[in-house]
Amino acid sequence: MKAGLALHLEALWRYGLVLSRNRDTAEDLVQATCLRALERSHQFLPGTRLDRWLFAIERSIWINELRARRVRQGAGVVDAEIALVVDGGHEIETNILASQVLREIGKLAEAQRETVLLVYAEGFSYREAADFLGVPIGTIMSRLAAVREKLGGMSETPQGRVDRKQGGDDG
Amino acid sequence: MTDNSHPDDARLIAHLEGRLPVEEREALIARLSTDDSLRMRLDRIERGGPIIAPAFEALKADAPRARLESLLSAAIATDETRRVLERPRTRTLRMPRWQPGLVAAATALFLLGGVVGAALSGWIGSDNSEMADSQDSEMLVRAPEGWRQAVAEYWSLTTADTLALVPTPERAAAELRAASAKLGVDLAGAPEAFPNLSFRGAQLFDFQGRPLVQIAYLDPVHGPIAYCVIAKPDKADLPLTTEEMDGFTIVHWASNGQARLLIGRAPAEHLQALARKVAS
Repeated sequence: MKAGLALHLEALWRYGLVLSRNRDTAEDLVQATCLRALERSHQFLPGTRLDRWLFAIERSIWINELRARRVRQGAGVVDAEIALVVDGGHEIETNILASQVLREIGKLAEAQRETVLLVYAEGFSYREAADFLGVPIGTIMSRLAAVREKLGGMSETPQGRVDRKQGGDDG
Repeated sequence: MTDNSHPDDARLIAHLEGRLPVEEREALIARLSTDDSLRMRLDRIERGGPIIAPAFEALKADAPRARLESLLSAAIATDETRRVLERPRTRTLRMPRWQPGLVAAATALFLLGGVVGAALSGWIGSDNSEMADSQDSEMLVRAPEGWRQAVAEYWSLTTADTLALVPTPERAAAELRAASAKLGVDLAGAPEAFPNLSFRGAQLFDFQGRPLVQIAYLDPVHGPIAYCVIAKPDKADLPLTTEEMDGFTIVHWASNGQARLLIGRAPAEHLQALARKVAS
């Protein structure tokens, strides 16, 4: 379990960041997920995918524990946090576009953000995503289309590659 | 929040992926040839697809790998601590039966341990079946220092690496609030309790049904030091007392219904000085 967790740390962090849009909370989610997985390692079914099991734990912690705490504290509603960006100042074209795409994704509703992550980044099938999120498969497809439509319209606006640094410290 | 969905969205996605049944596909193509807004929506959905995965890849590449590994180390240490605290506990004194004097002494110790243990409530349980199972080569002795022994066992699992990360103020405050509420004492000042020590977080454990709070520090000279507080139902006070256990120095005391200790691989005078800061 310890070795398996080490393999999925970045994916857990990314999922936590997409859910919370806050780097501190994403780290809290990773640590809480690791701890819960270690406590419940006997419940993991060998032969099934560890990453799916870990994502389910992380999502449960987010929904049942941390999201409520952040809402109570008034976090997550300020503009500066409606951002997911690639940090680190890499001056390469792909990261400029990536930051722009992530910033747009960061403005979406939580359900859309996590659906698009699970399907397009984590390789969930529509059926897997539907089961995981507890919604009909058509809802998954609608969410994906809505996100893609928004992102596809991005290049139609002249805004673009100049505001890469905007809002980038905590998303 | 944002809802920019469209009734045809699921169909458009299926169409782009070639998953639409023939009849539906033909009907959609017919509509697209006359419905400009639908065709533009399809175009945007098509354009918006391929840019998503690379963006998420870039985000993953931006993950703070070293910090995440430290978080995993800390989680592993916490899990192992919980396992140590949950382990059934019996201290054993091995006594050859053929030394009646020693057996008598051990029996006396056992009886004393029972009485003292009941009084101090920090004792390690040893049930009758374990006594019955003891073979003729040993006697089992109840020990009143149970919680300190447990802390010494699990604190040996903690290293400077385990404590590499400083918790965020938000997280630290939440941990201390939970611990304070559970124990009924105010631990909010713990991060600044020892000026030269760096606060590394508080955790709440359960030791045989009693809440046990561990507050971790990193000493620049002596490494990991823990300040632990456990509920002490009998409320008997105990002055500062120093002992060695499993290679650690422990300074412990009790007051106001809690037993407390400081533990570390540090000189006794150092821990005693720290203890005096919080024992008053």
